[in-house]
Order: sequence, then structure tokens, then C-alpha cells
Amino acid sequence: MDMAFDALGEVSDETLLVLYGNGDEGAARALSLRFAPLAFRVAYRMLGDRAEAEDLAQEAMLRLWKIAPEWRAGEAKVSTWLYRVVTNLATDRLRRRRGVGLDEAPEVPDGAASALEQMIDADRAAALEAALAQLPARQRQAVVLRHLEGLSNPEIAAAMEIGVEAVESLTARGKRALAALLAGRREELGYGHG
Amino acid sequence: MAEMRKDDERLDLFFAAGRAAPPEPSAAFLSRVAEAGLSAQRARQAMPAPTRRGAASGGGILGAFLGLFGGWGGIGGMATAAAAGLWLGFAGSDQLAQVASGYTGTTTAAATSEAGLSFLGDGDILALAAN
Repeated sequence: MDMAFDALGEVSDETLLVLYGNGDEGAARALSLRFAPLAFRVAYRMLGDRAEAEDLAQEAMLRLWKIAPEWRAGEAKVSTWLYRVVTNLATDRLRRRRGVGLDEAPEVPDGAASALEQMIDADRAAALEAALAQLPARQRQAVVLRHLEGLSNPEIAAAMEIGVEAVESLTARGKRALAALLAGRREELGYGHG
Repeated sequence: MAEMRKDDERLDLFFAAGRAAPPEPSAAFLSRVAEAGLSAQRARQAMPAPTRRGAASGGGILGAFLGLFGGWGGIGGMATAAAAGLWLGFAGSDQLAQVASGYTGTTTAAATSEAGLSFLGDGDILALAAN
């Protein structure tokens, strides 16, 4: 017997996993709606390509389906686990890309830097996306998880499998780089007016 | 220090805009993910329960019990050995030669319940055990 789909909105992540493991198809749909967007968002912000991001997010969700029946309650948050899987998969993909180190800024195509400055629409979200793409991968990861996904530093440390101090260092450096990249656009984007 | 705080405040505006306009997955992607979850779930539900141990006849407690003896064949073998012991004790020495030839005449009597039971003829094992 499946629980009514809309009744599952209030159910905890771990309870959904248990229901899923017991064959509740509503739980399968609820888990997809709850976690697939998270996986895609982070993947996209790390990789910058929709198709690759969907591919990676699908892989991450496959791992969730596999582990669901064996999930041990109380050990970790489901979301933290998923952040870690997505982060690891993204790191693997980025390492394979043209041999760019995770702590190096990627090569930016000619004109991309000035395009950032010359965006016609005052669109902070788009400008941020373009600026994030110019950060080294690990700084990008830390900033995305902290300021876009809202994770605490210990949670980021768990997801990235590094220490809390390393997280703080990466976010600080990432934000300094972002501030510098976005500086040229500040007035046009209404930045100076706060 | 004050400059850094200003930078942070300014960046916060960008971060807020980024959070307000997150990249959204396509409906097709969400559908694929849900389908994969449902497939994995159905495949798992279709698998037999992991409690059966060596019994072709069924699962659960009976299956586990039979599994300890190697199935019905093993039970038959044990019954044969037990009943033969009772028979030997009951029949007495003058009938021992007859019983022994019955033993040697069968090959895998101990392993097959059918052969073991036929050695006893029409005798009811339970009746023997009661004697």
C-alpha cells in the first residue's frame, strides 16, 4: 500500500528512504522530487554544462537508490551524504578535464572575462554564475555549498572530506576572487546602491 | 577589515540572487530519475526473500529446518539409520543375516529416502519408533 503522494511532503528524509526500501512507489517519486534538483543544482554549478550535470546527478541518484534499503538511521543526514556523492563525482569529472588541477583557475576562453564585465542585462545571478566558473574547482565547491546551498562549515567539511579550517580557507579565497571578478560590474548591476 | 566586510555584504547580494534563481533540471531529467528509482525498487521487490536454505519445498521455518539436514533426502537417510537401528535391536540375532543382506543389497539407501523406506517394506517408521 502506498502512502498518498502529497502526504509525503512532511515526511523526514530517512522515513522516505525506509518507505522506499519497503516498496512504496510514492516514496520513490517523493525522493526524486526532493533530491534530484539538489544533485543537479550542485552538479551544474560545478561543471557548467547542463547535459553533463544531468548525467552526473543521475549517477548520484542511482547510488541513492542502491543504498536506500541499507540506510542506517541516525548516522548522517541524507542530504549531506548526497552532497558528498555529488561533490566526489564532480571532482572526478573535473580532474579528467584537460588536466586542470582542482586548485587552479580554469582557462577562460578569449573574451569571456570581458563578456562578464559587459553583460547587458543587470542580472546578478548570471554574473555570479559566470564568475563562479572562473574560480578553481575546490574554491567553487566550497563557495557553492556555503553560500548557495546554505550548508554549515562542518557539513561542507563532511561533504568535501576535508577539515573545517580548510573549508574556511577555501571559502575566504573564493569570495575574495569573486569580489574581484564582480567588481567591474558593480555599478551597472546596482551593486553600488546596495 | 572594513573593506572585507563591505565586500562580503556586496557578495551577499549576488549570492541571494543566485539562491533565488537556481539552475533547474528539466522535467525529462526528473522523470528519468524517478523511473530509475522505481525500476530499482521493483527489481528488489521481485527478488525472493533471503530466508530459504536448501529446501525446494518452501521457505520459512520449515525450509530452514530441512536445510540443516540437507533437505528431504537427508531426513530420509536419518530416518533409515534410526529405524534400522531399532529393527536390528528388535529383530534379534537370528534375523541378523537377513537384515544384513538387505543392507548390502541397497547401494545408496542411506541417501535416498525412497530406498530407505522400501527397505523397511510396508513398515511405518513411526510405528517402529513406538515399539
